[in-house]
Amino acid sequence: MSVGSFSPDRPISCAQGRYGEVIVVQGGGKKPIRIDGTTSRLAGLIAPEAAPEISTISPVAYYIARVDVTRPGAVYYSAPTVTFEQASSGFNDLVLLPPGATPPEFRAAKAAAYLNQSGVSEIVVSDGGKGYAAPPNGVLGDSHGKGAVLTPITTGPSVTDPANNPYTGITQWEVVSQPADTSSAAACGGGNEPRFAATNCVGVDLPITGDGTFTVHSTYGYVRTRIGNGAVCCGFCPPPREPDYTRTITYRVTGASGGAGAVLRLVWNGSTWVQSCSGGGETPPWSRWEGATQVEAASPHKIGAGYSDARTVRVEIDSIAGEQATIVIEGYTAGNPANTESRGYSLTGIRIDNAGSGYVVAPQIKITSASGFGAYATCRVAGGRIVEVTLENGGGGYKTPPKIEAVAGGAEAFAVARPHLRGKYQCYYRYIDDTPESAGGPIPSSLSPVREVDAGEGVAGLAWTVPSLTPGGRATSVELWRTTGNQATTLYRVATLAGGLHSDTLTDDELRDPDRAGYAAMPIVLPNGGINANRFTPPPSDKAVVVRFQDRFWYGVDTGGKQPNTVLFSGVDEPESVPDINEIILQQNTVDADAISALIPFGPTLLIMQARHAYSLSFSKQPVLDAQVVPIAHRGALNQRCWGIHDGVCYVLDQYGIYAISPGGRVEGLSEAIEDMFRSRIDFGKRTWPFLTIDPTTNTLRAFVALRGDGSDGFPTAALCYSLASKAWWIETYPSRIQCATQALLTTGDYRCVFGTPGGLYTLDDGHLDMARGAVVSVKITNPGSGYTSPPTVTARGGSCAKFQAVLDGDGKIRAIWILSPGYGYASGSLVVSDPESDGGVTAVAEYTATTNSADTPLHPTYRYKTGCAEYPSDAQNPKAASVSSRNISLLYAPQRRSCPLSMRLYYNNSPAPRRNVAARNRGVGFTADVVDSAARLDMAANTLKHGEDTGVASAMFAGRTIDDVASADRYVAVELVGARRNTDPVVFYKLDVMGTAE
Amino acid sequence: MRADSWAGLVTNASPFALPPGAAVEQVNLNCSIPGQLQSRGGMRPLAVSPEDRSSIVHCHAVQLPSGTAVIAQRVDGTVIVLGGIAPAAAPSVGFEPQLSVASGQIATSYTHRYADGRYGAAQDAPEPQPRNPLVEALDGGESDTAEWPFVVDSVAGCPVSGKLSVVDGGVARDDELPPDVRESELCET
Repeated sequence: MSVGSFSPDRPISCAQGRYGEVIVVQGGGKKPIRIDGTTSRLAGLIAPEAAPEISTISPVAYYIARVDVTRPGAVYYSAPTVTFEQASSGFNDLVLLPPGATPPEFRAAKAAAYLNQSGVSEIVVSDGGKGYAAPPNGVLGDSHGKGAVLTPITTGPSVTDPANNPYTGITQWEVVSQPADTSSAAACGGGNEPRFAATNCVGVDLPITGDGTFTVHSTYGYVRTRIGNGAVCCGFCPPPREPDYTRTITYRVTGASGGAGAVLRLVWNGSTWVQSCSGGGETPPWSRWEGATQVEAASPHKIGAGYSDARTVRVEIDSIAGEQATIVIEGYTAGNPANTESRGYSLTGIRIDNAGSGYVVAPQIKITSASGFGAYATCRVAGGRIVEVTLENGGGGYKTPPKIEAVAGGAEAFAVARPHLRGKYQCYYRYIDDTPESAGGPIPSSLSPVREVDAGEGVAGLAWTVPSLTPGGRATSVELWRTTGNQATTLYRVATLAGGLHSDTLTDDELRDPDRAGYAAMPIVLPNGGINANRFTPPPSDKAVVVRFQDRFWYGVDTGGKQPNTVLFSGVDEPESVPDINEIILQQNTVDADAISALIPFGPTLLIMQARHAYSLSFSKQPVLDAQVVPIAHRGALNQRCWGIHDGVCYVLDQYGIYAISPGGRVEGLSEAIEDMFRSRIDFGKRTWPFLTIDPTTNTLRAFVALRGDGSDGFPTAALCYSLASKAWWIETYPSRIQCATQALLTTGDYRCVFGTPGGLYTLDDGHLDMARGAVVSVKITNPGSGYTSPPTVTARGGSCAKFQAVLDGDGKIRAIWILSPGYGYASGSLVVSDPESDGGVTAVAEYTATTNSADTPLHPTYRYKTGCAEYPSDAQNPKAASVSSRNISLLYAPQRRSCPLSMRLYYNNSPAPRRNVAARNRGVGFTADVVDSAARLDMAANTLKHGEDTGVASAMFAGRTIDDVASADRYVAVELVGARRNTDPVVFYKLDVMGTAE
Repeated sequence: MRADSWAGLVTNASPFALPPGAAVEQVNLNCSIPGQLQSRGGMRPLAVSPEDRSSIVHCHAVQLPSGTAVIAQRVDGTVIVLGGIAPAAAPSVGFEPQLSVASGQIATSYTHRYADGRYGAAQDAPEPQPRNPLVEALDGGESDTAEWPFVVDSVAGCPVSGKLSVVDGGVARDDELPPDVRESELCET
């Protein structure tokens, strides 16, 4: 099942993250994908283009931001509860709620108090609540010692009548102000001086009960009356007298609240007389003492109880006739500082009337008085009760018993309330997908453009409107983010939704509360200045390579032509977050216009490879800030597929050869022995598909390259192989196009190199049969041609890397065409044979057959080995050679279980064409000469030797001499071994002895 | 020259200067084991699940919860995930092309068998060929010697027509002729 579609023009590049996710890139404008298991999606999420639409929700509502302890209190046996008054919702009058939005409900704030040495030291708000229409008050519980009643024992008067308490009753009255005595003689109808009612025959008692206006109806009836010029009579005088009447005294009392029972007795002073006017009909005439002008004396008739030392009782009596005037009289309790009659006394003891409860520590004994001072007492508690009070000092000057209390409780707190939102808010949203957390998700986008909302002095919330998601897109949700008030550095997640409308009434504290469901905080920038909230840029589509290095994903190898030497990198374990700012640019100091071609994670460094230069990148924490890029070699890499790491050494293929980079950065060339191939035989015009792989099971490095003339379609045609153990090179060819490799753990438990071919995945160097696709398997010469003086070139069309070799006979005809390499991708047809050099010659005609291209055909792997040119000493150099002249060739090999032919051919004087030794013999030791194709043949089967037991030794019997003066004498010989592996056991050669040649 | 320490392929040197054991061509023979030259193994197909035998131009192994998988890029650019990678059953017998030729034709197979029309079947190791008695008869001699005294025509006999070749060098040592070769077959030039 396909998980992605990319261009066939270049290879993809993959890197796997810590959660198993795989990022696949290709460049060329193809968007990278992320593969999870067998599903894939485009990598990264693109940020929204528009800012959110937001309106405010009013009126203001409050929450508790914090609670300050203003008084710690004392003797708390447990932290007091904290409650907040006013539990009404502030949302009753919500307006501007978006359609369909649900008004937030009221939630009571929660806070907990903490004690320190029995006092309240701190109150922590666990839930600021919300929806308070006005700032609420904090109320503390009474979990403190209480109930103790302490009574002072003094030397002062004892209280015998609670209704007339010498301490709380009014024991002194003082006339504060009154008009002057304006007593006058009797006059008809009275004068105009102020008169204050009543009589001075007897006193008048005024009840003092609380504040207010009181009226006393005189019941005395006593009016001083003088009949005629007779004696004055008080009381019920005998007639003639004034008719009976009642006098009413109205007075106002203040400062008496709490008290009761006191009675003020007044004795009047002064007189004004009213005389019966003549003709008034009275007989005899009389004169009446109309009213007092002053108070002569004010005294307590009853002292009452419950009056305050701190408040002076004030009695005001207005005149009832004459000019308006007021008599002001003040009454004092014993403890009132104005009381001049009370005496000070001492505190002699404290009595425990109630031991109380909850006193975990001894409370302070507080003795307070408005008059005395200096008394000091301590107490002892047991079992939460006050069991003993010790008066340490009795003090003095107490006019009333001091107030004694065991100080407990009393803590006070002030709740600091804030509007849900106040000030300016920076609001964003972003997309996220449904990648589970276990896979590193969800994957977010960067933020939308900002929307700043001014909540002024307070609003209840914000109404968000964000676009709905595109069906089928990677984004599955929208996250709303905003700051707290008046800051723009840290964002908090408000909600996650599928788009549309959202009513946001989160308070700032709720927003910051890490225990809130959906809470998340995100600084917009990091402390070091690096971007944070907007780092979620999808991976680039113009980079062809991705690797993972130190938990970051690195993207390089530009395909767009704009950033040839730029490497981008992701955040830590965030392969899909590649902000533009995360870039490293190679600072080229050479005149060579080079470009990055590969990235190699190599131990603690990332090797950044150009085609001809290599750099080492390392960093400590943040690559943007502390990355170091150091050039390490004037070698490069052909492409991202052309490197491998084995045993801690990095092996790389570039256009100069194959080399190794040690962990210390030392570069060592490995391919000097075949260096000419890189100069002239490898087709570096095709750099896209070559690759290098290292087989860990055989320590074999294979560099698959396209050789010139192989007819490559861009893919490799041969493998340059290097044994890391024996340091030897060889070439491998396959009858199928080997296109790629990776190292994988098979279900059998074997860790093998796995190769991709037109037929799927294969292992190489496994079994004894190749799987051919369009390989040339036979050649038939239908016309040997004529006129050839040297072997013609023979080629086939349509496939790749088949190699043929024509062998001539002595008449200028083709005797045979060897298939040196079967190639791949061919369909049966005619070979192309070059024309003969001779005029009148006839071009040979040959056909070939190829295996099918649509299925595997098992073929025996063929091999070929050719030595260098060994020198035959001439007779002049070695006179004895003339008589001996043995040119036998001996081969030591591993006998095969079944038939396994080997051809041996000789090349004289570095000739490109083999030629048989004319002096060959077919005797006894395995090899037989063949005139058809100029080869000597040996069947390495163990049971085919005719002459004796097979020991795996065979000799081709040749002879000859070299005479210096003979033109073209066979002075040098190269031996070629050609064959096919036909059995499960490999063909093994141990020794090749070319006799007669110089050592 | 005695090659018993295989130095591998050395192309960046004159073929006349190579040490014993070094090769100017070494194809599909490895030197991984010191002291021996060994033919490489073959190609074993891998079974994958789901079965997919399309052309794969790039592959990358990854570790999934279900085990190792290969992310593979097909030749058409599509990317697939192949899991359950295991060796598949492989054929045990290699393909042998039929070499059928008419007279005058020569066919060669990739395993270097051949048929030249005279024997009707492919040859691996031909029996001693009577048409080439001279080679059989002579166990020494220098090539390119212009004065080689004999011509050989084992089919038509001497003289001249249909002779197979002209031996252009060597000195026959009659005393070492094998018994099945008559000196009368060696014709003077």
